Amino acid sequence: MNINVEFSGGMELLFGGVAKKTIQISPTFGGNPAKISDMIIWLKDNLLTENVDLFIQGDSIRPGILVLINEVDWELEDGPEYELSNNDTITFISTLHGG
Amino acid sequence: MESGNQRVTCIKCKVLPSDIKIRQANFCKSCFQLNFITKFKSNLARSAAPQTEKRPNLLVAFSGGNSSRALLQLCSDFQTPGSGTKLQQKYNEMLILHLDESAIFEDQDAEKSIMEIIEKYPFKCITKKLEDVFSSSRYSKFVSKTTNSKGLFFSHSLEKETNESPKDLLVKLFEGIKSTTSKEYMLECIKHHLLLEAARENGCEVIAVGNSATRIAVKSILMTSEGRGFSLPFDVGAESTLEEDVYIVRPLRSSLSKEIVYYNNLLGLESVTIPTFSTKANANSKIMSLGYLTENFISGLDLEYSATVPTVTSTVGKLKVNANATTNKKCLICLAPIGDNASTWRKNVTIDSLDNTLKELKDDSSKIDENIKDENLVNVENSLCYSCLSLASDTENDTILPGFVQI
Repeated sequence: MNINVEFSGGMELLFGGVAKKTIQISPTFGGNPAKISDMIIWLKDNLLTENVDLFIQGDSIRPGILVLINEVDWELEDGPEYELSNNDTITFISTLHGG
Repeated sequence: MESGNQRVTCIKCKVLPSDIKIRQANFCKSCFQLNFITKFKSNLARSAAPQTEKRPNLLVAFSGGNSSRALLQLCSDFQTPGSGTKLQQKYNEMLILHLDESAIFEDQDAEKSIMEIIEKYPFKCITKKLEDVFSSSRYSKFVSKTTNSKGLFFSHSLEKETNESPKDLLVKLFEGIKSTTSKEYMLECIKHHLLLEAARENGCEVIAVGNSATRIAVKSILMTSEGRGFSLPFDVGAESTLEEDVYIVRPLRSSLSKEIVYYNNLLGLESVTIPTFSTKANANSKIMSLGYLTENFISGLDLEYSATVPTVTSTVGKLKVNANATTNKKCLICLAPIGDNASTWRKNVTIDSLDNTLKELKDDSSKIDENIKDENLVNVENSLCYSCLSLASDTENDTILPGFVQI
């Protein structure tokens, strides 16, 4: 399925300067519907060009990075557990000082 | 699946599904925007200005980053309200100030993008370059730092060294500062001076800076650990009234950085990422700074406990300026008042008072570097605040300091 990912506020620097990209990922991971946490791992493995600590800390996204699912705060959805749908737009914005 | 229907309704309008969670409150887009703008306006409307006979001019500091991007838009809206409103404007004129950091971070594309943003607004723009602090037309003499067995001294630099271009001197200054923490500290001092200088040159009595609540919480912890506790109310307060003629206001101080980036995203306000000395630092890299660690600490805590930032900022907001702070001698580098005990705190690494030291120097000049005349050396241990003493001790000998540092 297609997912639109957007990076801003300095996040684009971690992904080779790309601000917007449509990615194709599998609709299922390990037999379960693809979750946003699966996509984050996919991004880490396939698109991340900088040190992984700048994107992921522990088993989730680094604190200080705002994630929007179709323009809605992911904290109001299920956070990392949100199940992706085709053509979803996921936005990552760094709120950290100086990227 | 329509997930929108399952979301909790907005806490304010109680009609629409919420789009953003700010601490424990959930807002829809329009209620969030209203709340965000109201907080900003009320902060700016309540902020003081130096006593003048006319309405003050406002200088908006714009770096290109998220916070100052929002600040620029909000100040512009504040200054030019819709045609229907008849409100008396608080400020006479608004100007935009941009500090060009490309001399040390060499990012011409970023500068171009920043100027494109500024051109969208109908206000006069002033650009200052970081290397202006080494401008030979502005400053006739520069001082350099020396440490010897007698302690910490500043002396006037030799002629040949100051023939270098301002940009080279700026690059050398940062090369001469050893740790990333001190480099970031020096950069803040330089920017502070340039802000004040630009405001004075252009007749602005008020400077608005884009410090968010999150940034103020980080700066409060950072500056306390750097030893700037004494002057903290000036560094992070709602308005810094340290200078009599120019006040620095922080109208975004009630907004989290999350609110700011969400606002920018809603309005499609593009920001420019300006690198810092610790950009792309990680736990193992040498460029990690206290500022970077503090930001990680605060944002990590805030994730677990969403009241972290407000708790720090409201606690710090209660700090009162020390009664001595307005009469105490000001630091040569950062202009903040020097704490009474700054030199005592560092007693184990410092020596006698200025008078005694000069006397001793004259008696025993044989130990001093032959190249420097002894009357040119001034002991500055009692003329710097605690954190600037730390900065100086982290700086290589003979490093030429910015022109605003004079002895």
